[in-house]
Amino acid sequence: MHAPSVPTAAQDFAAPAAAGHFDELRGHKAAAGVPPANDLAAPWERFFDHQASDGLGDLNHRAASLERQIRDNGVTYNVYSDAGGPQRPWSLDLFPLIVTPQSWQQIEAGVLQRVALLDHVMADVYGPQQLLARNLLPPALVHGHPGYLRCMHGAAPVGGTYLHIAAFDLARGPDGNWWLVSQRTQAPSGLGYLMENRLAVSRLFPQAFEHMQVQRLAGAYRALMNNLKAISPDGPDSHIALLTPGPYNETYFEHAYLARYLGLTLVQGGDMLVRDQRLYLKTLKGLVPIHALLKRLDDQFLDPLELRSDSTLGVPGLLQAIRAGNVLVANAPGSDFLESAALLGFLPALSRHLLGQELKLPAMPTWWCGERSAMEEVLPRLAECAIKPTYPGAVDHGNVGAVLGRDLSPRELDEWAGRIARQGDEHTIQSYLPLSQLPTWQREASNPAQDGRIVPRSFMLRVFAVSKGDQSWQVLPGGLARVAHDHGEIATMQRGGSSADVWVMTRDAVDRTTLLAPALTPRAVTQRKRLVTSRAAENLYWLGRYTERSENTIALARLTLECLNGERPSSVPLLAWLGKMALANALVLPGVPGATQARRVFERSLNASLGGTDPATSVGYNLRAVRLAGSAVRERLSQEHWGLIVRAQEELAQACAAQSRSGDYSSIETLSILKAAGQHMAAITGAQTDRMTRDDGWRLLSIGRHIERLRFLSASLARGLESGSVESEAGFEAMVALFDSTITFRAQFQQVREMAALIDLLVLDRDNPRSLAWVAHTLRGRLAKLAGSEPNALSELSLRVPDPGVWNLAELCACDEDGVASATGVENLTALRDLLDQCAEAAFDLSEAIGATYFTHSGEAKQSVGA
Amino acid sequence: MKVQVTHETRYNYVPAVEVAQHMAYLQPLNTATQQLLSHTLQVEPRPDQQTPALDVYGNTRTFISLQTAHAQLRVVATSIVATQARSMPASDMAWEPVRERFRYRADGDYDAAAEFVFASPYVARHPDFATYARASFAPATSLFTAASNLMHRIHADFKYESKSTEINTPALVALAQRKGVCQDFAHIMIACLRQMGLAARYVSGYLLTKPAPGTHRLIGNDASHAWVSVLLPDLPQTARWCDFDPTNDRCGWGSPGEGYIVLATGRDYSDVSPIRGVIHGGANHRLRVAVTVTPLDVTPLSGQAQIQAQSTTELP
Repeated sequence: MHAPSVPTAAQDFAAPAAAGHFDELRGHKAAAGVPPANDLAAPWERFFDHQASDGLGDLNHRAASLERQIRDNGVTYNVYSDAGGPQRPWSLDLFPLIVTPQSWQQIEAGVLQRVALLDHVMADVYGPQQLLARNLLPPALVHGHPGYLRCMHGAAPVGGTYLHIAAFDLARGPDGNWWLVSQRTQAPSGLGYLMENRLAVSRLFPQAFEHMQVQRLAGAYRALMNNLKAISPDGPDSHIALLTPGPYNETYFEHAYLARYLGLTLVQGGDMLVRDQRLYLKTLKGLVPIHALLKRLDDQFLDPLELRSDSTLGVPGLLQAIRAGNVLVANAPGSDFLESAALLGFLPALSRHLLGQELKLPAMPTWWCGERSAMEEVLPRLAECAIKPTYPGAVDHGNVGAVLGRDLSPRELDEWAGRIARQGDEHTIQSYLPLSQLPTWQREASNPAQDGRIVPRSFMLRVFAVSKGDQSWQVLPGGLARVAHDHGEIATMQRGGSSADVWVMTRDAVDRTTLLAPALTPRAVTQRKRLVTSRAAENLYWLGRYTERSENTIALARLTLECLNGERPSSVPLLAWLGKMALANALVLPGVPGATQARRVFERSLNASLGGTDPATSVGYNLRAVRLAGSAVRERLSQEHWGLIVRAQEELAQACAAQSRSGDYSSIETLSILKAAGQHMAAITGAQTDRMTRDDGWRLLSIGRHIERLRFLSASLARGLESGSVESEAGFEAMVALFDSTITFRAQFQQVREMAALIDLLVLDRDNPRSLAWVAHTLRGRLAKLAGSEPNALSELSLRVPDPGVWNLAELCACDEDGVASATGVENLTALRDLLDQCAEAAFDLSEAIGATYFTHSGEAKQSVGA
Repeated sequence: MKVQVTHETRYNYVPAVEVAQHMAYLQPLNTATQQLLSHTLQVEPRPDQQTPALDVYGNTRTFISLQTAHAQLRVVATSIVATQARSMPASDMAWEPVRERFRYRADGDYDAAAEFVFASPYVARHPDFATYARASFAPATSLFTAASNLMHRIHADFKYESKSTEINTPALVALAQRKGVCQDFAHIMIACLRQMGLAARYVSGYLLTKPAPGTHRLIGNDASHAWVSVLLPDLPQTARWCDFDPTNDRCGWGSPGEGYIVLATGRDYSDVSPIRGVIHGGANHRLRVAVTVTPLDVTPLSGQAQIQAQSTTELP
């Protein structure tokens, strides 16, 4: 017997699209009832043909691998754009949307025409305003739109183009034709996610991808960058940065991703300043000019001097620099009014007037209710339409998102009709059609072993036009398919939808160029090398400090629990030392009885605080701090490095939460949590040591780690001496263990527990990375290099670190060369105690001095004043 | 009348400000009823940049940038202007056709003044404004009469009270508390007119406050003043705006009176605030504003050439 071919199996397997929707898999509108056999659309037949070797059974593995890839790459979408909101992994479907060459021709031609038209409209609105005078454009959609920026009127954009990137959201109707639903120009998102989607999905279907003549994407990105460079004020050497609102923005992942992919500096408003109408980046080495900004920040936040004065995300004076022609901004500020759905109804006439052409790609019929005749026409049809705000995002207008008429009760429909009649200009009505449905692979969540299913889901397609200069654009041959959740019809990532890669097939040869830019000029190379913004520097420094602090607190917590539960009875001085250390490092809250007083209470408290939820600042807190600092310099960390940070933080948080839910704070459980966290930390520090470019940014990270280590080491030793803990056998071993030096110690000194041996290993040994001498020596070296001084010359900062070259074992042990002690007991080790004090002070001083020297300008408070 | 206006703004900062950028709207306009004869804008310490440019409404805005540390900033604008006595506009167009004029129709005509019908940062739309305004807008009343009546009512119903509002108080808040300063009075009147579908703009300027012999004293916001301009479409194309000062219950074509000096016009205060800036540092600052308006026509013999109004504002 012959097994059915994979395409046939896929077809038998796949539920048909809902009746009345276009069925992508079958290539026609779905009718009610069972679909006929042998009905797969040609591209999908080819697609499944290429899966022949593995059959459909393999799709589950691929779906699992895809999820893993997304998680490991740290692709996220912040659902709510604030610090506390959840970060959700980006959701990507296994199957791509396949667009045929015929379909694409229609889309491409229509989009090219529309982006040119929008650019013309913008040029008129910020120039002669003839379109208003001719009544082709209602003033309410320009002057009445909060996104029309009066302060940009009359300012010609550098290079003459207003729109460098425009996004168009398309719907495919039941007959297979494409319709424009909305357009995004202000700061359109998706160019990063779609690239990530492509990399992930093409890897899973290599044969189909190779043989189906799928168009590559890199050429469009390259065209965009080449043009930006060509027209930027400083020509090919121009320094281009990507302006992000910061890590709390919902699409921050993609800002960091794009910056890395396109080779741009990722900047926030606070990283820059304007001088002499020019834009500069604040870096470790001073001010560096910026000539162009790829803007992912909404216009209103660009410049607190002229736009929203409460914005801390922008740069004061930026608009002045833009008007002076000294900085290119893509897109030019002020395009928000183009995004209004209300504009769609006016574009056909605008196209005839400005281009002398009919629009090739139709928009969904749209009525702006500020025009009475339009309102009267559409009000009776409200139930079949979508109600959209004319001015989305304008809080003053009290509007939220779109509402579908069919979801409203008759009473609600009446209320809407009343609202629309009263404030017609604030409402835009758009007709609605059943969205085309593409096949998606749904795994059985309950039973992963079981086969998945092919399920149709509604989608919208976002495509991008990018400028290639001189009033010409290119459509990126791909896009972002946004897939509705379940049987829903509204596809947004905010509402829990998913996405799919978009394969645009071509009959021509596939353009296989990669992004690799034409050779950089030597000047640009020198300029770009080791560019570290002051903000990145500050975050890297704290990333280093919190990484070390996490490691130390994990080690301390483990040691403490092991001592409390060990075979040997712990001495009182040892418990006193551990208690003090736990308190000093915030493993237990102040007020908790010490280990010597109420051992079990202390132990339970340590276990319960581990997750570091408010107000505790234990291990969980430190790991969150690592993640926060890391997220702010996301573009400098490798995928692996970032993935490790996320996993370390999340796994510990989940385990601690589970422990807290069960109320069972067993130390055995805590120890296993700590062990796992310790392993993650080892991998993280490995990534920091081995997988980062050793520029000044890395140097600051390393300095942060060593300052923290200096502090922890000196304080731990000082407390060990003070409590007398090191005089006991258990205390001595605990101290050695805390510094990860047990193996070294045994190798060097076997069973000798002499203070001299301890001091030699933990203070003087230049080969032990956890000795004070090693830490001090390394710090001095890093600080000297950071200051950029000649090799071996020591900078002012490095001189603040005690010089290990003058430390002397005999002196520190308070004995002569032959080991004869001048006095006995740790209380007599005054030289050692002084040294430990010096080290602790140096750690504190250095941190302050580094902050003052390298970070001051990024922390500076800006404020608005007025009279 | 020829008057000299000196408008001095002084900031004292602790600690010193490192970098600052300011935008100033301190140069009086040339209008049909006002000529700017001379103007200087002096900034101390000497700014690294001081660039005047015209804004979208034809006002002069000056960008000022200081890049060296300074503990004090002094901005002094000195202007001499000639003002004309007011006249009453010959306008009898009813308010409803004016409203219709601004309603968009594909076959209608465009009027650039439509820009002043829409909401603006300090003047949001709200039905409460219509509720208040309606009493002045009986059917078929001329717009001039309706606006005058609205001005009278605001003057009568609202209490002028210094420091009862902040410079960024929105019109709706001032409406609810029935008190405010000239800026609030102007915003409320603008909001009422716009809510009725009419075009109204904000005028920033000065008012000579010393009463001429035999007349009563006018209240100005410490000599820096604000009022309202309303579009009357049946006036000649070049000067269709009639000014209404709800704080003093006076109106007139071009300006509410000879003692009014027009600095700038915009949609509301946010478009034309005399000086706004962003500073780095200067956590604590003290602001002093002093405006002096001096009539220059009066013969020195009469001893009238003296300080007519002076103001000091301090913010914490």
